[in-house]
Amino acid sequence: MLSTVRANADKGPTRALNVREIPFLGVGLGYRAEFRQELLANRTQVDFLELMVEHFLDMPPEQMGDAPLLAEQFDIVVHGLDLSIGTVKPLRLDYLANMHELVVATGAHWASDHLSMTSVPGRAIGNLTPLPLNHEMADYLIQKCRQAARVLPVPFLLENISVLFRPAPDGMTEQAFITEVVQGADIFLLLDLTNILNNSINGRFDACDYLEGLPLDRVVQIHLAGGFALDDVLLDTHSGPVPPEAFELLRYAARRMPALRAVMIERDQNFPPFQTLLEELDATREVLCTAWAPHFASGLVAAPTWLVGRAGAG
Amino acid sequence: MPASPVFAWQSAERRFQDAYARFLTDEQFRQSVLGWSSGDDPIDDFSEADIGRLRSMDQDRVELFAKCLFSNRIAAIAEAFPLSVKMMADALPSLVHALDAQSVAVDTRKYPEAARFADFVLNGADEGAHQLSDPVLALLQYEFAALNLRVRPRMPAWPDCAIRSVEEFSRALDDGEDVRLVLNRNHALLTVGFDVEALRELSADVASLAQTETETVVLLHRGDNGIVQQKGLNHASAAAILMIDETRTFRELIASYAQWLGNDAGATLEEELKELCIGLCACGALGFETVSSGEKREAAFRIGGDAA
Repeated sequence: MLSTVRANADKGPTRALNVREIPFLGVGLGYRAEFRQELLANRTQVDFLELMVEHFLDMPPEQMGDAPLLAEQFDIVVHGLDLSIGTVKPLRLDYLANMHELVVATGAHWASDHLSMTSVPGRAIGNLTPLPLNHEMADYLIQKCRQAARVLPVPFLLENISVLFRPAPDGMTEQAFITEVVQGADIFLLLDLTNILNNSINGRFDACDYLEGLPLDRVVQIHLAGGFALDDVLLDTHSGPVPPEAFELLRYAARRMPALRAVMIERDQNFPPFQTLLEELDATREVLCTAWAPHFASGLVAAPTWLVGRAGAG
Repeated sequence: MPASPVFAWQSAERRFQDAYARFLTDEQFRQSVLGWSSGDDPIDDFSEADIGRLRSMDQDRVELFAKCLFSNRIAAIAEAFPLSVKMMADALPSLVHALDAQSVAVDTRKYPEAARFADFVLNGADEGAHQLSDPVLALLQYEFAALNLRVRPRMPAWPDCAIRSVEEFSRALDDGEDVRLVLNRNHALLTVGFDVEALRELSADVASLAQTETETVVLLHRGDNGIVQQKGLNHASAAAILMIDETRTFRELIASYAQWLGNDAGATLEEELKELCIGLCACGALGFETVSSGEKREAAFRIGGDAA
């Protein structure tokens, strides 16, 4: 696997992106073993699962064995934490090989990681760490994202992160930086709306204005989550319910995103009863039914059952 | 030939990222950078420009980020060793600080962080660095063994020719056939200073936790489903399992055990050991080989060893 990945990273074919080939997945959950049983018992209420590379590879064998079993029950997308694409060193092909393996094992529709760094040679930082926003870094990322996209058999998405600070020198806004990278590399965007909301509150800017500066036509997936405030700063801890402001931002954003195919709730700590997560999924669907109705109005694509009959679903 | 601008940028940015990562994760380095003045000696060969970039960041937010990293590490340790952390209570953060004083964490992912912490507390820390009692240390050893069995199992768990059918095992012993005993390689035999099941149920109230202090011997082993199972043992059974590690066949186990007891091996002892072995086989901790297959394997090993 690693040798194929290595060969493709250097000389692999560049796939032309066609958003119409990306399937509509609906509203899903980031898979966590903590709620495995309840998830399987409520299989019809979760449209898709996002599997984390770190939860399945370099792990006990039975854990890897669980991924195809989940894929028999759910549509799957794959998400990574530790590609560290912003680190100035050759792309982590071993990591991409793991991601590739999980994509193949589950028939995942796309794979994603973060626009950040998590390590440098000899040191793991342990969190998603912001990059400086300048053209040199953008150019560098474009090259690495192209390589990653060549290696993976499915579309590659980058996700915006929660930012508490930035190292200088910044020569661009974050929106311009993200736009330059995803357009330059010809990849898609996984937009974490809670991160935008937190950043806007922590950084005192308007989240809707911020969204207007992004290439919204490239957003394929959205993340929603809840965190908490420490020293009056909002933190992205995935430990609480999705705040109402995030749903409002989703309502604003979704209708501006023609390629949006999936919205997902992340929960990593303080797990509530599973029914509460299902209620959050349903609240998400309620917000989305207006935005997504036009997708299905033509009848060419079958609407999911939850969309049929809802207000605004046309 | 002068370096290309792209190469020069990459080289400079790589060096900066090294400083940046240290600045976020190494408190001592961060204080050095913040206390540095132009004209001072360079810090670890980092340039004035790199140091300037670090100093220009919002330091309150950097501090908060570092605080979160520390909390994440504490959470990783608590997730790996929930019972030990319950007993350590407030000592945990100071232990992690003591660990950092010895060497700063460079791999903060969950398993490496938990393993580094356990290794430090069990083997590397001065007694002055902690006031943990022997039962708490034994509890940490127990949870560390369970973590390793779950996350870093020895593969394969059994030799190729190990038979693990309880029926075949019983039949062989009933027929008086001698067999080679083979323990699941993913096992650990430990003395734990607490009733771990009771400890799991209790909240972190020191008085009630102290009531769970009692010496127990447990056998941990990893089942085929990956779940680590636990079997409480009396000292006699534990001694027999230790002998299985050392002895080769069921007959030799009986002889060793009788010698340990200072008795002759009688029919009762044989029955008791048979019952123990079959029980261990039923729960997935023990298998067996026919004596002939074990001899073949050992002969092959000897030939390989001689050739080397």
